[in-house]
Amino acid sequence: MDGFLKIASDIPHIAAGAWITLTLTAVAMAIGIVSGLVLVFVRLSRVPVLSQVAIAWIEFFLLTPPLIHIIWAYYVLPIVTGWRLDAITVCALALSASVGAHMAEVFRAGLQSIPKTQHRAADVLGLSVIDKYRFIILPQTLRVILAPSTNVLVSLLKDTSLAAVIGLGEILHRAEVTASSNFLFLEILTFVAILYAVLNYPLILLARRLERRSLRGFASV
Amino acid sequence: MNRDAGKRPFVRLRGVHKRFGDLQVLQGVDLEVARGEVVVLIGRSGSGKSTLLNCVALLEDIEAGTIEVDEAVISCGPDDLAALAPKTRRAEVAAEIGMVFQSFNLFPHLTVLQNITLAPRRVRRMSSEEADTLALRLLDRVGLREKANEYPVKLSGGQQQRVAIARALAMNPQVMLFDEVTSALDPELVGEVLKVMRQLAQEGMTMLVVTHEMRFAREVADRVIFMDQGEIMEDSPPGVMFTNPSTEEAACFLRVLMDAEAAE
Repeated sequence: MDGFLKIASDIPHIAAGAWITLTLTAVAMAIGIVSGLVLVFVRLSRVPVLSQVAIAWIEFFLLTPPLIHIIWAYYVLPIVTGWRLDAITVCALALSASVGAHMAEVFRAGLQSIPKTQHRAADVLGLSVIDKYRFIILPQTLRVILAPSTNVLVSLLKDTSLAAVIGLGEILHRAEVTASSNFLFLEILTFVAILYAVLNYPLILLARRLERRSLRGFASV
Repeated sequence: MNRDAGKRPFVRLRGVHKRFGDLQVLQGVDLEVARGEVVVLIGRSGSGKSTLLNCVALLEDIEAGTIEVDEAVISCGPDDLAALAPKTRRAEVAAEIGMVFQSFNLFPHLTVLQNITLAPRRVRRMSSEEADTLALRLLDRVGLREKANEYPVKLSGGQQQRVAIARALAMNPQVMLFDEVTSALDPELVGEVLKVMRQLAQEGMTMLVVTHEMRFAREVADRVIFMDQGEIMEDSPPGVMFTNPSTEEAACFLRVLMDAEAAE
């Protein structure tokens, strides 16, 4: 218990890293959602070549760890191309690419879960393709993808800790630096785990609320 | 009920072929339906009845032949592209075709009222007041005004199907396609849907109906068409079809059906 009292003075410094954690999460989620939507529509469009490129892109980022992308973009890219990106840009881009691939798969599962008969009903009424997606398909898809999207978001928040490997001052990096000077690894890393849980918990609550709201018309609520 | 006999047919299919992979579903169907006529399609499952409706509703492309509605060719095989009506005219005509499905296909996330008003507002550019008034009038007609603000899940199958009919009618269609609309219903709910359809027929709606309700066919149809293996085998008035069909296939199909009805 002593140890935990001793780290009290370190807590504000470590917790301040949450700003970077949250910023990275927000940026990667925003870019990830938009790129995921683009990827899934290109993929499902079945336009030759473009559609295959989208599939290859999605699968590459699904099958390879974001940690590698971060290290590669930070250390290898400058050697190969001469471009040097700062640590936060590297992390934002690498995490966005990973989230984009995951969201594309979430969107695809969602879109494909809407029965073909819903498309037919909308087509027969003469709705344009845009109106069909806007009023019929996407609202129903949203309901289906809320839970898996939350999972992606929660994983993303945790994955921002990967930024520590290139020395970006988010929560984990600050914790490691602090712990290596006072050797209170157990206490500091325990605190960091709790901090991630605290940051993530509101996301789960929000998702539950949205899910309840979107159930209207589907179950007796 | 065949009021405009002699005029150019409102719906005209010529040599329509449709294939799913290796399976030839429609093999050269010719069919003409006059304005105000009620045509009932019967036949075994897999005989091509539903596919025929889907082709007329433009839910399926066809491999050969032409489909004409209201004097415009709206669908054709690659050999008849020259006959195809201009795109705007096709869209116009497509909006005149209403369809009701076996599985209702209401939009589950929208209320009954929203289900009906969406297309009039988005496609016909009605104001929401106009669309609401129209929808309530149609709900009155199918006896469901009090359900306007419910979600479809709260309705029985028969009620959902009546809403689906109201939704199709809201687009003021000139022809209505009914694809086995009572097949998914519990027996005690079939009557309320047929009643609405009977009323529509009496009002002079042009209707193409795929059904297994032989009593309905007998009472309401102007013509009954028997399909087998993607072809129209027989096209007779109900009086003839049900008492003295001219083809052995139709006679055999009807015998089985009558026996089943008698056994109930």
